[in-house]
Amino acid sequence: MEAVVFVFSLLDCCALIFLSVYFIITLSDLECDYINARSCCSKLNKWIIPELIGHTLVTLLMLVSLHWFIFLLNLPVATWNIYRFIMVPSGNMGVFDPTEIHNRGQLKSHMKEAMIKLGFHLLCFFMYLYSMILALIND
Amino acid sequence: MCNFKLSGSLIKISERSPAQNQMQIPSGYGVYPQNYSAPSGHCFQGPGKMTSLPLDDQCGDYYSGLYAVPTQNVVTPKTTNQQAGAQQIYGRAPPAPHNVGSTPEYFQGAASSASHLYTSASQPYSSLVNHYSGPAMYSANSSAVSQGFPSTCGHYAVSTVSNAVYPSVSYPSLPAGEPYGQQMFTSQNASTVRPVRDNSFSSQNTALSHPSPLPPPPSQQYHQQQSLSGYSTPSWSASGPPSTQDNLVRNHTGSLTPANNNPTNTVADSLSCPVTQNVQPPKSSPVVSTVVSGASSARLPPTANHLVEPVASVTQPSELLQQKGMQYGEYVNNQASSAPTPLSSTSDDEEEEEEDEEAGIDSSSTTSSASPLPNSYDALEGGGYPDMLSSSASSPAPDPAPEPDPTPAPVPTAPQPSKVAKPFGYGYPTLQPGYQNTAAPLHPGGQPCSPAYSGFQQYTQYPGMNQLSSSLGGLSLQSSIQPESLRPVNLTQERNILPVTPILAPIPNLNLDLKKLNCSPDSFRCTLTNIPQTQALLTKAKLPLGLLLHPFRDLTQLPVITSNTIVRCRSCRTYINPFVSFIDQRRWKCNLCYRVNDVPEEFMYNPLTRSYGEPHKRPEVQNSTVEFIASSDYMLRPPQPAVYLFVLDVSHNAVEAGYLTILCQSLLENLDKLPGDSRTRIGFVTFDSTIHFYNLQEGLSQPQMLIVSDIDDVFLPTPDSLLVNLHESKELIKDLLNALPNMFTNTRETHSALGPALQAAFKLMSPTGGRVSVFQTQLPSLGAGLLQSREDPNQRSSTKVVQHLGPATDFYKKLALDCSGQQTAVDLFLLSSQYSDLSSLACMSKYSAGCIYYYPSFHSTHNPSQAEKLQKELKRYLTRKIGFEAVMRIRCTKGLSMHTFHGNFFVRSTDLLSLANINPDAGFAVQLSIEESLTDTSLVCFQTALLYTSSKGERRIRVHTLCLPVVSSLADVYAGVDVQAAICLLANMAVDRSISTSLSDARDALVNAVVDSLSAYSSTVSNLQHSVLIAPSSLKLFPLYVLALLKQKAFRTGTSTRLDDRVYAMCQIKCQPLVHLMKMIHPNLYRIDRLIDEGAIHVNDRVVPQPPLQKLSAEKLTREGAFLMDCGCVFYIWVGKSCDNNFIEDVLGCPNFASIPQKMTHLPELDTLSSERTRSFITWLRDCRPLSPVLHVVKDESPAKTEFFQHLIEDRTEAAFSYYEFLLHIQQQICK
Repeated sequence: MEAVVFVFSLLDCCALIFLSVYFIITLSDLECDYINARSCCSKLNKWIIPELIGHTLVTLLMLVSLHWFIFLLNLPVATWNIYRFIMVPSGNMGVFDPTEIHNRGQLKSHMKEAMIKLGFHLLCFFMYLYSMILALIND
Repeated sequence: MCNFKLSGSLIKISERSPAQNQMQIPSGYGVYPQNYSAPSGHCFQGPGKMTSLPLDDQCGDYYSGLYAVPTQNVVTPKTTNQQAGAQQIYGRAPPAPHNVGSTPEYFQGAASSASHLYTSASQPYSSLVNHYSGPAMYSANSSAVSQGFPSTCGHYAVSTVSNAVYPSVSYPSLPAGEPYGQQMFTSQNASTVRPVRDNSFSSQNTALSHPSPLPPPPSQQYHQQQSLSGYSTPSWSASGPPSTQDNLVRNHTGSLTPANNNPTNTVADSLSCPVTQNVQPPKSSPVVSTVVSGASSARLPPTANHLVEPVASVTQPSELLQQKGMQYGEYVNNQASSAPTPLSSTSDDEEEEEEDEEAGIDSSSTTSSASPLPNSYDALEGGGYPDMLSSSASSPAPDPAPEPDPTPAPVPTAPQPSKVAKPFGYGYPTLQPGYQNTAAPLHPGGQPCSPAYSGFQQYTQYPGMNQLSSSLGGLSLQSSIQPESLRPVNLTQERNILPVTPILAPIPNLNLDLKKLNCSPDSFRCTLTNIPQTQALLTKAKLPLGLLLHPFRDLTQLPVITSNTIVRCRSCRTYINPFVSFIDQRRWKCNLCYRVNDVPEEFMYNPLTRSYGEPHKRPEVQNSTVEFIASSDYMLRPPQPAVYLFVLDVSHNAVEAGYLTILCQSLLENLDKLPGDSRTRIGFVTFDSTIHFYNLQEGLSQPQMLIVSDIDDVFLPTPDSLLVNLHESKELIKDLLNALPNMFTNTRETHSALGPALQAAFKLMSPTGGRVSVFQTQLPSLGAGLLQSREDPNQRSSTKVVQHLGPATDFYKKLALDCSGQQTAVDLFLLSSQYSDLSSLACMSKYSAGCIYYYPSFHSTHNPSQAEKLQKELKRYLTRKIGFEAVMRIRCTKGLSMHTFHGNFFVRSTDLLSLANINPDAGFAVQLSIEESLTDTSLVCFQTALLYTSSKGERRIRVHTLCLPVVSSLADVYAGVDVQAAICLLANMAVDRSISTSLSDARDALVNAVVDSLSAYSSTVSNLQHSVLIAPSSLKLFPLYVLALLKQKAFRTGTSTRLDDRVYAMCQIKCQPLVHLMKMIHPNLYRIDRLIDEGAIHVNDRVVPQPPLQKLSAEKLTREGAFLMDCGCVFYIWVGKSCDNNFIEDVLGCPNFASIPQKMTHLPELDTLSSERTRSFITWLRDCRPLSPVLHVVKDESPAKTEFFQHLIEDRTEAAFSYYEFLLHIQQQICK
C-alpha cells in the first residue's frame, strides 16, 4: 500500500517538475522578449490550477498516509500556492497579469518562485524515490 | 445561428421603428438585407483575428518585426476598399524572425549619394554663396589648436567664452533662413568645407605629437583667433560679393595644397602641415563679435589665406592667442570629419571646386526639398507651428547615377594609422571638476567612454576675452546651482518656504554646451539630476529615482528629419543623438551601450549646409528632440488612416443629463478640424439595453439606424458601412449629429449595456485601429462587464480603510488589451451623477493608452459649469494632435534599468510601451534602478523614441534624449534633486501602492519618504543639533508637497470623498504630465485685486501681469483682497468680504460685494484696466494647459468656500496636520 502511495507521489512530482520547468522557460522567454506578456500570462495562468491541485493532492495523501515529515515539508508550499491563488485581485487576469508582470520586478520574483519550486520538487522527487524503494523492499 | 439572431433583431427593429420615424429603419433594413447575412459578419471578423498574429507577436519586438517585413510598404489602400486592402496586408505579413541586421542597406544607397558629392562637375564659384551660408564652416581651425593642446586647457581657469560663443547663437533669428538657423560662422579663412577636413585631420596629428602643455605654435593660435571672430559674426551669407568668394575659394585651394602633400598623415607630416592653413593678418580682431561688417571686412584680405609662415603672421600677444585657441577646445572633436584624401594637390583643387558646386547644385535641390511642405510639421499636422519650417531638414536627393569619376574617390573609411588618437568624440567640456574625468585627454585609442567628456573647458578669462564674453550675454560657467541647492534650510524656522516665483526645473549640472543641447525639462525630467554612481548610494539617499516624460507634447519648434537611413546604434538600436561621441570621422560611439558604430555615408553629408564630412553638424546631433520621418522599415502595415468611433450612452439617464446636445454640437463644429487626411473615417454606435449602429454609407438619403438586441453575442450588421469616410459621407454625418440629440428624448430604457457595446466597437475597429470615444453616464447594468455598486456612502470620510480602489472585474482590462493589440485606444468620458465604478471602467482606457475624463454630477442645465467644461475639453479633445499605432521605447545607459512604468499603456516588453494612440496631453513616469555601478562613466543618457503614425498617415519617430551627470558623493545627489519630479513620481508610486495594498499604507509610505530622505540628509551633515529639522535647499519643498499630496483627493482620509472622485484623481496622477500634475497637487495662489504691470510679460501683444505666488494658508487671505487659486483643472476666485469695491465693480461687474451672484463662472469683459489685467492673466494661465479649467467666483460667505479652503493645504483641518504640525511630526519621526 505504501509503495502505491509513493509511486503515485513520484508520478505527481514528476508532473510538477515538468510544470516548474515549463514556467521557467515561459518566463525566461518573456524576459528575452520572445513572446509577449499577454500570451505568456494566459499560458501560465492555465496551469496555475492544475499545479495547485497536483500539489495539494500529494500533501493530503501524505497526511492521510500519516507521513508526517513529508506532509509538513509540503505544507508551506501548498499553503503558498493556495494563498497566491486566493489573493489575486478581482481585476487581475490571474496570478500572472500581463499588465503588471513587467512592473516592480514581478517577472523576477515569479522567476525566483519557479526556481525555488523546481528545487523543492526535485528534493521531493528523490525523497519519494527513496521512500518508494524502501517501501518496495519492505514489502 | 447567426441568421436566427438576425431575424430576432429584425423583429426588434420593426418594433422600434415607429418611434424613430426619422430613421427609416424598416426600409433600410430591407434595402440591405445582404449586409445582415452571416458570412459578411464573419468574414469581417476573420481577418481581424488573423491580424492579431502579426500585431501581437511581431510587435513584441518592433525592431525585429519591423525590419523583417520591409516589403510591406504597400501602397495605402483607397478608402473605399480599405478594409480589404488592410486585410490582405495582414495576411501577407509573415511572422517575423528576429533579425536585426538592417543596417547594411544604407551603405549602398548612401555610398552612391556620397560619391556624387565628390565627383560632380565643376561649377562657377558663385555657387559658393550658398555654400558659405551654411553653419558648417566655422570649425576648421578651431579644431586644430584645441585638439592639439588639450592639456594646456586644463591650466586655465574656467571661462565662459568658448562655450558662449557658439551655443548662444539664437537659432530662429537667421537672416539667411537656414532651416536650422545655425549661425553662419564665417571665419574668414577657414570657412570652406575642405579645409575643415584637412585641418581637423592635421590637428589630430598635432594632438598626438603635442601632448605636453606647451603653448601652441603661434600660427595655430592665430588661427583660432581668427576663426573665433568668425564664429561670432552673425552672418554674411548673402552679403558677400561673388568676387570675394571667388578669392576665398582660391585661397582655400591654395592653402590646401600643402595639406594634401601630407597624404599619409604621419605625425611628422602633419606637424609641418597645420601651419599652412589660412592664416590671417592680425588686423582682423578676434573681438569682432556681432557685426556683420566686421566679418566681411575681415574676410576681404585674401592674401592671408595663402601659405604663410606661421610665425610671420603672428603679432598678437601670445597669451591672448592662446586663449582664443583654447576656446575651441570643446569643438575639437565635433570637427571630426571625413578623412583627408591622399590626392595630389591638383585633384584636390578640383575636388574642392566640385564640392563647392555640388553645394551650388544642391542648394536648389535641397532647398526645394528642405523647406517645402513635407518637412513642415505645420503643414502635416495641421497645428499652427510656424517655426517648424525653419527647423526642418531633409536629406540630399540621392544622385541616381553617380558619375564615374576617374579621380580616386575619397575613401574616407580607409583607416588612418594616426587617427587612432581621436578619442574624444565630441570634446565635451565639463563644468564641474567633480564630473571631469581626470584621465589625460590625450589618451590614445581604446579609451573608456568618459574621456569623451573630459574637460577642455577650463580657461582663464583673459582680459581680451572680457569684451567678447560680455557681448555674449555674460554667460558664466560658474555653477551657482550647487551651492544654492545644498544650502541647509531649517524647515521649522523658515516661514516663507514657498518662493514667490514659479519653481523651475533644476538644470543638470553639465557644461554649458551640453546644457544647451539637453532635452527640455518640459518633455523629459529626472527626479535626480545628478545620478548616483551606485545603487548603494541611491539607497543611502533614500530618494526615488525615475523619469517623468511628456513625449508627445505640443512643440513650437521641432526639427523634422527626412533621411533615407536613420542612424542608430547597431547593438542597442539607440538613435544617434547629441551626446554620442565621434571617435573619428567615420565612427561614432553609442552613449548608451558604448558600441562603436560606423557613420553611414549619407550621414556625412549635411543637407543644411550642403557640406560634406561633418556628421556632428547634422540636426540629429544638434538637437536632443528630433522627429524622423520613418521609412517602410518601421511599418508592420501601411500607416492606418485616422479612424474615430463614438460610442454613446443613450439610456434614459444619459438623455436626462443632456450631454448629447453638447457632444453633437461640438462635433459639428469641429468636424473639419478632426486630425486626419482624406482617408479619415468616422462612425457612431449608441447603446442602451440594445446596441444601435448607424449606416452612413455614401449615397443614402438619410442615415439608417440598425439595432442589434442580442447583446450576449454581438455582431456587426453591416460591417462595411458603419465606419465611413468623413469627407464622402459628411452630409449624412451632419444629419445624424443634428438628429441624435432628439432621437431618444422619450426613451424609457434605463439599462446600459456598455460591455457589449464595447465589444461591438472592438469588432468594428479591429481591422484598422483608431480611437474609440465612449460616453457613459451610469453603472453598466446589462451583458458582459456589468458592475455592481460597491461604494458605501457612509465610508466616504472614513479614516481607516478605503476599499474598492481596484477594478471589480477583469472584463475591461481584457477588452483593453484586445483593443491595444488591434491598435485601438478607448477614451472614456464618464458623466455621471452617482457612483459608476470608475475604478473598473477606467481599465478600458488605462491599458489601451486612452484617456479618462470625468464629470461628476454632470447636467447640461443644472450644472452649467460642468457643461462648459465638457464643451471646452471636447474641443481640445477633438482637435488636438493624435498619433496612432504608437510604441514608445525608453532606453538608458548600460547599468541603469527601468523596472516600473506609470501611465496609460500596455507594457509589451521590458522597455517597450504599446500605445494604441498617443495624445499630446499624456504623461508617463518610469522608475529606475541602478543595476551596475556607473563608476566608469561620467554621464548617463536616457532616450525615449516614440514611433507613431501621424493623422496624415506618416510614420514618424520622435526622439528625446536627456543627458545627466553621474556623481559619487551623497551631497551631490542631494544637490541635484528635482523636487517636483520626485513628488510626481512618489504620487505615482503611492497610487500603485494604494491599489495593490491599501490607502493607509500608501500614506505611510509618503510620510516615510520624507522622513527617510531628511534623516539621511541630516546624517550626512555633521555638526547638526538633533532638535532642528534641516533639509537641503533643493529639498526644502519636499515636506510641503508631501503634505499637499496627503491632502489631495486621491490620498486624503477623513474628509468626505466620493470613491469615483478619488479614483479619478488617481487616474489623473497616473497620466497627467508633470506641469499639470504639480498644479493638482499644490495649487498656485495669487492675489489679484491689485495686479500691476510691474514684472509683467508680453504674450501676443497682451500684457500679462505676474503676481507673486502666495503660500496656501488662510493667513495670506485678507478680507480686503481677492485671490485667484489655480488648481489645474479649476480656478477659484475668492473675494473677501470687505474687498475693495473698485475691484468688484471693475472686474466682477457687480456694484458691491452683496450683489455678487452665488454661481459665477465668468468674468465679464469690462473696459477697465484692472479687468483687462485680470482677464489677460487668467487667459494666460488657461492657455498653458490642455484641460480648460472652470472658473468659480467664491464669495467669502458662500457655502462653496469650503471647496476653496480645502486647497489651503498649509492650514490645519479636522483630519489633517497643518504644515507646521507636519514638520514637527517628521522631526519626531526622525529623532525616533
